[in-house]
Amino acid sequence: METAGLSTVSLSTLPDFTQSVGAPRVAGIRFPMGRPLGSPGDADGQRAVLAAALRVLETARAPGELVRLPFQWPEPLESVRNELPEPTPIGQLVRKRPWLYLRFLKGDIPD
Amino acid sequence: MSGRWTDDDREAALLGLDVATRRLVRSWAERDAAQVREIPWTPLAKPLRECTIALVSSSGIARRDDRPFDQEGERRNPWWGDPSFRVIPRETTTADVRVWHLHVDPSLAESDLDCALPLARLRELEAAGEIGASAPSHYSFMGYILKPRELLERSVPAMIARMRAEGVDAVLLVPV
Repeated sequence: METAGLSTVSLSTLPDFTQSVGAPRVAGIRFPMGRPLGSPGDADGQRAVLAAALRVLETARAPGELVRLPFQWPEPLESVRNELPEPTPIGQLVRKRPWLYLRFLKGDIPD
Repeated sequence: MSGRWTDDDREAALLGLDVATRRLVRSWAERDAAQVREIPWTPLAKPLRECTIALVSSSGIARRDDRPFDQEGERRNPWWGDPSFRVIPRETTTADVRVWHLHVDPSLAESDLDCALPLARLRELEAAGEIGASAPSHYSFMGYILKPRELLERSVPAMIARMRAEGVDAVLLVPV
């Protein structure tokens, strides 16, 4: 998108990873995975995070810059759980055939 | 406030994940970091308060009146993920959508769309004059794609074409 002439910013809870894949601007937030904008129902919190992330479009000066957003998750991060309705298909496959986990770790994905 | 992301920061985000997934994320992050890349750069052409903004979410959001993302395909081949995208019009509300992503907790965005695709929040920023406008169209794709070629060659150019047609100046990508 950036190459096509659109300015972009990526919000991320794993911003050094996002940076490493070449994102032009990264807004890093120390929030749990699954909740980069905040909690359901917290409109004021979401709006603040959204505004701060968009501002990075103006404040980032150089390609690949990571700007840390000044927000703190109100509870201990380890208390946040993401409930999946069913185990992921890849998780089920790897449990059945554990040697595939090593391939997955190396990024050796079958076609 | 610019800054390094520390090991402590990185580990904090991973706390809610199981051990196997944490190892995976760390391993992939280290592997990708080793590759040097040319980073594209388009400076913001106008002040943010004059910009038309589009949002892109990787949470697999689709309107209920639109085609779901293909989950049966992923169940049949767990190495595959649906590489298509959906258009989410700017007035779309929580009741209008469903989440089709086997690796996220769907209850979050299905109880409050703005957790994943903050359309109402963006309209509030527009009303407050902090941005020029929320674009007519926003986008979602499903982020579990291990081989992104089709996403990059088909879906992304289609999103870009629509963004340009709608006068979009800047894009915020919101992860899972």
